[in-house]
Amino acid sequence: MGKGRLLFAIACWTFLCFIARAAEKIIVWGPSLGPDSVGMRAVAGEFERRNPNYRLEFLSLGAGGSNPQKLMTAIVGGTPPDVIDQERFTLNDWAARGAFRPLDDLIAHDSLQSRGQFYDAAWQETVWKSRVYGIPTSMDDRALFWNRALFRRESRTLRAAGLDPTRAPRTWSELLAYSKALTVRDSSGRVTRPGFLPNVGNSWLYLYALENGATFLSPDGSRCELASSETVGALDFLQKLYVASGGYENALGLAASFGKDEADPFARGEVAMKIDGDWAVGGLARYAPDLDYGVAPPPLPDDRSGSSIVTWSGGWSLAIPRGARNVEGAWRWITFSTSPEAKRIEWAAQAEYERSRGRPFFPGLSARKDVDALALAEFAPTSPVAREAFARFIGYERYSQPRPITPAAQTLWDEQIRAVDRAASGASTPRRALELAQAAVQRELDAFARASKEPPLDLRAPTILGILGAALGVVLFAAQFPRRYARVRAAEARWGLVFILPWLIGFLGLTLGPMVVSLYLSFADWNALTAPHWAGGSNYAQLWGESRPIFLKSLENVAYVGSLGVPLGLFTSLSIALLLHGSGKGQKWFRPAFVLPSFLPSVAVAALWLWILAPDPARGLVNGWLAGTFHVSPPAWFASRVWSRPAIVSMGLWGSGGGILLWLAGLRRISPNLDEAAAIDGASPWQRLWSITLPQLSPLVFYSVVVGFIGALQQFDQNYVVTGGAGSGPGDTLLTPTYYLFNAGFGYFRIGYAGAIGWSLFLILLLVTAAQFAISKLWVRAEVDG
Amino acid sequence: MKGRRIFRLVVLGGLALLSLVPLLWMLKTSLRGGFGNYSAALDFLPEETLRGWVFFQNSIVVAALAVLGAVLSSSLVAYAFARLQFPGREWLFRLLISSMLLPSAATLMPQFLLYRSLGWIDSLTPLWAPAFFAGATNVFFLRQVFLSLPRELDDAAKIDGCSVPTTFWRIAIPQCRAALGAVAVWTAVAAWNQFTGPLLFLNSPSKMTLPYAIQLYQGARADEPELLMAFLTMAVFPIVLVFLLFQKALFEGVRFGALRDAENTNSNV
Repeated sequence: MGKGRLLFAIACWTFLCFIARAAEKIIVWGPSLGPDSVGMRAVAGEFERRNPNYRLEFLSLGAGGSNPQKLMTAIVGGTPPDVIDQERFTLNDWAARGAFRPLDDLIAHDSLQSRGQFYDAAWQETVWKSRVYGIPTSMDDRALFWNRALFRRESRTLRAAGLDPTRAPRTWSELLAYSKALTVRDSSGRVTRPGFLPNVGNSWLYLYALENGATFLSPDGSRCELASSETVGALDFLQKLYVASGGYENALGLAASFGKDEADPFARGEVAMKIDGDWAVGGLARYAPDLDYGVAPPPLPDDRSGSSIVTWSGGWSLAIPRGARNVEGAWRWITFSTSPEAKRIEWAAQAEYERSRGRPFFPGLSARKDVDALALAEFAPTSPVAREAFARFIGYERYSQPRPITPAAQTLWDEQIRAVDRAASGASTPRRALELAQAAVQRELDAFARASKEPPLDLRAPTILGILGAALGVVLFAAQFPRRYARVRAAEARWGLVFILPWLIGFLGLTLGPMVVSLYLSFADWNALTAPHWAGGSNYAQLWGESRPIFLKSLENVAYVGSLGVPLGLFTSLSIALLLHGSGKGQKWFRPAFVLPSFLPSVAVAALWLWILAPDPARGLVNGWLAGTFHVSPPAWFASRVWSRPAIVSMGLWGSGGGILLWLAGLRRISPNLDEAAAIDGASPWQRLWSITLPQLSPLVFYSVVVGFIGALQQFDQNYVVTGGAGSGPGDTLLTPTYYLFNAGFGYFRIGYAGAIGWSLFLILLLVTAAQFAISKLWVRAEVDG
Repeated sequence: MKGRRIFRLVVLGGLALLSLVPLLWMLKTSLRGGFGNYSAALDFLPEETLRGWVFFQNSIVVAALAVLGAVLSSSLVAYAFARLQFPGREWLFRLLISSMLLPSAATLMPQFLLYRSLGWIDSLTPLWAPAFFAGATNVFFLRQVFLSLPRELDDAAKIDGCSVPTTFWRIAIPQCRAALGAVAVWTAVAAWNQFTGPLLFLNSPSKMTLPYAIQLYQGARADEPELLMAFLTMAVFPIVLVFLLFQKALFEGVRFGALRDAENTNSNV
């Protein structure tokens, strides 16, 4: 007894400790903490020393602010972090969906937040409907980097083109002229060193459009104006830039082959100029300390030259998700970690650490003027070139504009990228590409407007009705039961029903129920945080209307991979199985080598394949071999719109060995007599294969085709991994319907739209399979024995 | 004849080597610069994951519970469909087969909402619990196996007055150990390899499973192939081991039942 009581007491104590500790935890998502994050650890340590009742827990793996799907899932799932490091331009997006907590009450209580210290561009981004949803931390603006040494070397060429080699281009036409003059081609005319590539560094369409005076949105924010003449002009200019340096496809290949850090193309003089963010100064200071370069304002359109600097800035902020458990602690951490005092602690520790490793320290720009001043005074890079560049970047901050502030910011961002890709690849004209993008953004803006008008939907009534209906069905079924079965059989029938219960419950609860629920919800707008609204057929209208091109593209991708990969996989595995089947004891030894890859986690296969097919011949296995043996410039595989899908097929081919097991089992069942009889009759091995073995295997072939296509249509894991979670790939060639659904569902929590996609997919799958069954009548040998 | 046979073996050997090249390359890359890569790869992981041990542990828990659930539930259900007469058997079985055609993505969203209301988010439960509700493929496979068993024993047991559960447990189950073994192995592999579930339902590093950790690792260490390959080698090793140990059971299992599945697809759907 005494022992039991003691154990109970210990259990209670442990439990209480656990509760107490849990209450003190501040869970912070975002900052990636590695062995090198000495500064961040110093700040965290200081915070915990001053607030002994709090313990910080950083989630550094996987759930950073740059993974919206993960964050949204956690918030909706009721397990959010207390603080999230969030990219600022998306704050509105999250605030509008009710995913973040407004901070005004906390700011009002606190004198530490000195509003005046923040740059306007940064602060504006945190406000949605006049409430503040985040505290800005870092800031990054964009400027033109030009390789001064390279300009000097090429001074004769530049002078010959009438250009001044001692300064950077200031206007668009100058940028084009410099880029043309500095572009180097090999004997076959292929560009080996571009003068300037828009996709190297960090500029995006936003920069060129802003310079051209674009606003992207109507003043009240209700209409998207992405297809304005200013933006079209900017996209036209981007296209010219690509043409000037060897075309878009070549630019994609070059960008994929460029390295990072020491191998940075600008540091190595592989591009003469780039537009990039301030962080690039830090990279150059560390990896190319001797490089002589300059930083200049991004060039302006010719008719605007001479006006003030135009650039855009982004950056991060700390926010508190809705449902966070420790708001008080979260706010303490936010105010402390953004203060100049904490910054000094962080930078001093980090600088000391870098010094001990023989590396230069680069503080980065802040969204606060006082922190910037501290950086410039105490932590600026020591080399004159880098110091000058750093000072210039700080100077440009006050001219910078934020990205458009709208709840559709993420869509706008994604769509402008897609529009550039469409236009630059020649898939459509710049205007058409931008109109498509504009329509997509407008649809989202309209959905926000509509959601606030439609009456909320009550989900309780249909839920109760559904449960009552199911209960009624069971009662009716049970009522019939004794009449139809004699007493002898009744016991067996009862057990039969009991035995299938696991499946029945699972089917009703995890398959049929969800299907019905998703059908119902596909006629509503709901994000699981705010009240649902009736939406009629608008989700289907969108999927088969404005979004049809992208949805069809995803279907085309899986159709491509399926119709190439399924037959190829069948052919390979069947051939190997035939070889194995006739090799006696060899089979036992060789079989595992072929079958093993199909048992590996798809994620591991994709991660491995990403490196096997790495574009850089020095690092990728296949391209190293291609370049070494055939002296050709190898494809960029997953980074190329032409080769990305074949790359997926090749990865699938490696994993297709599982089918060998099926073939071998099938081959064993074929009666050897038939084969021998044919051999005696003088049939050649090929004839026997064609007219005896294959017809006998045809039901298995059919099974494999059906299963193969069902699998191909549902591809997800590997596409997710090879695109780094972005899911689209070059020119959307790696987008799959499942990813499209996943992104709508878990990235944006548009539950209704996801339901519409799911049901459409289901019907398509049904049609494809029905068609396969219809065609199978023509070629599958009927079973004799069943 | 003999020359042909040797030729065949040489071709097979060459192809087998080709099939292993990616794995060999992974191993080779992981050793570029020495064994230090292996410990360096683990240094990066968050402290609370105990150098990745926690991922491993979670994957084992998920796989073990999934195997238990799948073997128990699908053998019960399959036996009922193969051997017991009950009202609605035929159309229920048709329903089961048709459910294999449902794209799993279509049910993800409502399932997430269900798990949320059960408080299962950020726990391992949603990764193994569904296995207790008899997956259609396993039921399909095991039903074929039960059908292929001789009926005489069943009938004898019935005459002796054995109840249905006793017959199931004493007579039917012992006869299809190999097939259950195959179900166990491929359930284990599938549960171990699953990615979408962990991606959706897990947040904390201490709850993550190995494949999810691989993806996160790959994302975070995108530029260090040596470390990534070392991590991959460690992550893939258990699967390779299980595969080599149980490949015979798998092969026999497929031979036993999957074949009939495949051939009966026509007549059943």
